[in-house]
Amino acid sequence: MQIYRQSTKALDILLNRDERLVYSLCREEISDIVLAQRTQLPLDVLNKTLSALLEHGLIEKVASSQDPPSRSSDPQPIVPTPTKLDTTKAQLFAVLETELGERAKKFLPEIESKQNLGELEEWSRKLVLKLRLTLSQKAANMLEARLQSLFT
Amino acid sequence: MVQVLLVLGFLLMLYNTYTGFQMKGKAPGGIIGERLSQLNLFISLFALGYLIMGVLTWSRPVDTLLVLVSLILLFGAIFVLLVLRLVQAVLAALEG
Repeated sequence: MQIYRQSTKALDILLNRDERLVYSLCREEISDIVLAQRTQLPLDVLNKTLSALLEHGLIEKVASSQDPPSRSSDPQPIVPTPTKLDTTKAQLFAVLETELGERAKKFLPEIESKQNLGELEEWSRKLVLKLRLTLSQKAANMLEARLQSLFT
Repeated sequence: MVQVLLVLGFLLMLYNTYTGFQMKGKAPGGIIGERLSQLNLFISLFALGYLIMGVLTWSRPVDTLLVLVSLILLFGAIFVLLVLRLVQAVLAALEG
């Protein structure tokens, strides 16, 4: 298992869809296992994407399973396993960020406030309509296509 | 009478122009955003037309045709106001 996070290097190159998704999820430290779970990308594609991002210097490896075990004086906090709801929220936000950029941040509090998958799905469907009417038809189409895989 | 109708129409169109551009901020893109851009352009042009019409007919003697045109212009401005109110209601429903 390896843990990645965004480096301090500014994003100054054009990334493809998968790279943008992985790059945005690496905003906080994240393991390759969780990345695979959240992006639902095949492992070979994920590894290729991670390698490309590492090569560009946009993300960095924080730790790997080969690293020496943690010091006993500095125990790692227990990280709760992300639930399906958390995973879906993260994926939904990643999709929005990919399509809308900075404007996606205004939807984050609403996404976070959803208590269950049904509520999140209903809100997402309304968001598709809202995007189509008031923000971007392209973003709405992309989100609509992704919702199928997110909520099945 | 005609002057009053023309001034009312022009003022209403000025208000419509303001409302239209204000709404564009709430819907920068998408179907409504794109249509609002076109609507705003036409509303501005019509507002200018109302002004020009008022200036050109200001000192003309009042006749039935002029009263009729002034009434049509005023009701046109009211129509635009109603359309903008409708768009405003749709935007409010989407926000809620």
